[in-house]
Amino acid sequence: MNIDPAKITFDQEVRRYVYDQTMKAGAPPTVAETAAAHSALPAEIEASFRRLAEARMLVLQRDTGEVLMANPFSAVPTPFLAQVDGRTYYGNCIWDVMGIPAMLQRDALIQTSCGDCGTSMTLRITNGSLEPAQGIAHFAVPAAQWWSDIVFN
Amino acid sequence: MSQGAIISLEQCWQLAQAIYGPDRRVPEWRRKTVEEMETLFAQMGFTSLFWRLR
Repeated sequence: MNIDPAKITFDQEVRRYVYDQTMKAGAPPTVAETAAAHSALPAEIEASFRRLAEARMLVLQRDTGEVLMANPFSAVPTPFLAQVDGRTYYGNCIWDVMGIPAMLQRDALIQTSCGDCGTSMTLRITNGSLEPAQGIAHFAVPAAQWWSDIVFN
Repeated sequence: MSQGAIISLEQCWQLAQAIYGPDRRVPEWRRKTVEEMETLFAQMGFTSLFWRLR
């Protein structure tokens, strides 16, 4: 495969920006915000987002090309909420919402609910440890098929 | 669809740290390879068909 080194470097910078902004602001930046930050055209950022999505480093919203997931973060509200230092973040699933304090290296209060009965569930990550809590994590889709439909999964 | 797999919350936390601990902002970050994921799953005792990646 012929890969343009300049595009690799650009995509790495875009990825850094997306994660940096997400970690600071709680949600991924838009194409327009990313373009403005890089003095780039929106089309260049859209292309970069697409390359990052093809490499499974981002998941894009189907109709707009905006970021849907910068895993573990979700750009849209989900039932998996993490509160860190007074800021609210959304994860894509129970694994991802636990990934938020793992990525931020911070304590977190995680609020979610049972996928079966809807009972609320609160988890606490403190000093890098999960405080004892009742519950399980259920994975519906076999690992080999996770990326077949990552939004469903 | 299979009935899926169940893991403990502690195992989920361990998995979250393994995948999301490394800083994705640095240029050298990359996704784990299939081999690395297989090793991680094996270390965590996830050896059933459900966790097979290929």
